[in-house]
Amino acid sequence: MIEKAISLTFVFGILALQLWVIFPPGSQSNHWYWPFVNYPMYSQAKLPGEVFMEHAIRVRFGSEDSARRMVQSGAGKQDLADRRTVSVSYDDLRIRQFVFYRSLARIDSWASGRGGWRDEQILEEMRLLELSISEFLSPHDSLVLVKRDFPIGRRGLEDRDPPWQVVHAWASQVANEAALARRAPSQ
Amino acid sequence: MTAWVERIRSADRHWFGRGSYRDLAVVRILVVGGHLLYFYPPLHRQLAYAAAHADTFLPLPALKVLLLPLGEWGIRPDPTLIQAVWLVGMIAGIAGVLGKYTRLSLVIHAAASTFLVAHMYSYGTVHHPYGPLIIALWALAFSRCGRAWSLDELRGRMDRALARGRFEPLKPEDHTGPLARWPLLLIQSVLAIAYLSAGLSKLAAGGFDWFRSSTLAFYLVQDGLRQATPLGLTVAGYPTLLTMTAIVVVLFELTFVLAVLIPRIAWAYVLVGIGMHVGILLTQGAPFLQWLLLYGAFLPALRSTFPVAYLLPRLRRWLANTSEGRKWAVIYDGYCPLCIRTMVVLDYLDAGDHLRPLDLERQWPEVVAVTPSLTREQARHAMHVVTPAGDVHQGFDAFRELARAIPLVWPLALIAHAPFARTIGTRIYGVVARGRARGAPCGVEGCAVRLDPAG
Repeated sequence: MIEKAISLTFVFGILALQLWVIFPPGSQSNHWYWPFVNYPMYSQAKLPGEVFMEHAIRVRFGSEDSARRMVQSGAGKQDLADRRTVSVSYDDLRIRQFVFYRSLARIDSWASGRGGWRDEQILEEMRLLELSISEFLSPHDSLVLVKRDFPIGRRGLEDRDPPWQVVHAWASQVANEAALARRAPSQ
Repeated sequence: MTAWVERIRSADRHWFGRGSYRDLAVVRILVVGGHLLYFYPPLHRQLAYAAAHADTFLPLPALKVLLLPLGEWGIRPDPTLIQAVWLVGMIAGIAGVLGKYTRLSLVIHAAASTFLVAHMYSYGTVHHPYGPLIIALWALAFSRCGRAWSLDELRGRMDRALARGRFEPLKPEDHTGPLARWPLLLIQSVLAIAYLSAGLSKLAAGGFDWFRSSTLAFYLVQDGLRQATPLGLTVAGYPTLLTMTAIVVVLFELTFVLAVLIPRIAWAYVLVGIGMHVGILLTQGAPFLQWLLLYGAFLPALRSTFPVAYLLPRLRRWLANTSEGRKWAVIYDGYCPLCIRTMVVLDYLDAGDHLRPLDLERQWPEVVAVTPSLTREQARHAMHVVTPAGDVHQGFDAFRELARAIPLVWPLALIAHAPFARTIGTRIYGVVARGRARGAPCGVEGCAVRLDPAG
């Protein structure tokens, strides 16, 4: 009888929590209640003529040697046309995939004057992107956000290899902060 | 008022009516075993997260709660702790699958898995496949899933048989009880709520525009490019297929609860669900395979409905090469503790009920009816097996025949038929049989009489 009462409480508790987190439907996922989560993935409708923007991040080093040093450590892929440039993935930056793409989309929105992001929010996003590769960066190096647009027509992808465009480039924040910190004691 | 009372009674019967502990045990083995093999968070990834910059660590409350006994609220686990938790969780999981200290093992395994997944999700984003799986692990930990197919139960049966001084075959009611159903129904219900959330979100956020082919085309292109799944890019070019798929998916998600409420239609939902998740994996690279593992909770419903109810008994009979009423008679010495233990194990593994145990001391007339040429003295010196065709095997050969009859021990049959296995096996059997103790129940034929090797 006691075991049944405990089981009943457990069942009620689990179902109540799981039901509670799914309402209202369509709201953003709230991870604070994990493992009780709602499931709003892919719920936004997309209309005909929608464009998918693919974002990527590249590091432009001051010298080829710096680029090679990073690639030899196992992070990134060196650009064959411009050997000072290294493409980095979310794995290289040790950032989870969805955080990475969300971050790049936010920086894009901010750089294009969309989305209402505050400068300090975006600067923090940029800083987080750099953290895991900070050992390779110097104040002369910069990060470049690039994107390409994939228009989606009635028959799916209209162009499978559109050109990349530069959205925004910024000097490495972490490297500059470190340089300033090194200089500070001597002042 | 009466209607409400009747509804509560009906719900009580549904959740706490008699159910099979064997079904629950199969789900334990499937879910915990599958989790260990395919979904247990890899240690190298855990350590990579532990090495990430401290600013990226945003601990989930679940992780904070689990770490509370070790320090202050919100501390970050160090690599040593992560390795220890990973190892302990893995060992506990294996013990849970085998059913050794089942409840304790599963509580430790569920806690370790919660810790590891919560740690993984404490670096910025939470994915959805693990939520229901973690809840299922806790449900199993709190359940009586060790009441069948477990070393705990086997040990308990052996101890009881030895205390009684006789072997008694398992009865079907030994594996049923009122606490066998709720964990499976809970797992089913959590899945149903998760699907309902996905379906309602699409209607609330996307409305009817969600059913336009452009919606799925966009997501297929997005994931096809990000996850490098060319099939997704190809399928994105078929608008009619996309619209039909969108309708089926939302209908499936909104009505999945029917699979819980009406068990006889569960098989259709399970089939569509498998198709949907495999399709998502192939076109979008999103692995929701943990949920397929949880479909195991529909096992009792699937087993009793077409087409499984039709095919399963036939498959079983075909596998065991026998038919109803034809069994392997196992003639054993009911006064020998080792033989009693052996019979408990054989009976335990005989899930298809292919064996007919006959105690030569207590059921001799039935033994004579099965094999008239066998004498009592011969039977006392070695186990005998009479096949459905009437062939009599004894000693090691009898075990070899049993290994063929019980599907769960077929791997042993392969070993028993290896070159020299018969020569070696017969010798070992002879040594063990001559050395075994033999004791009749006290007061009837004396106690602990040692078997005379000379016969």
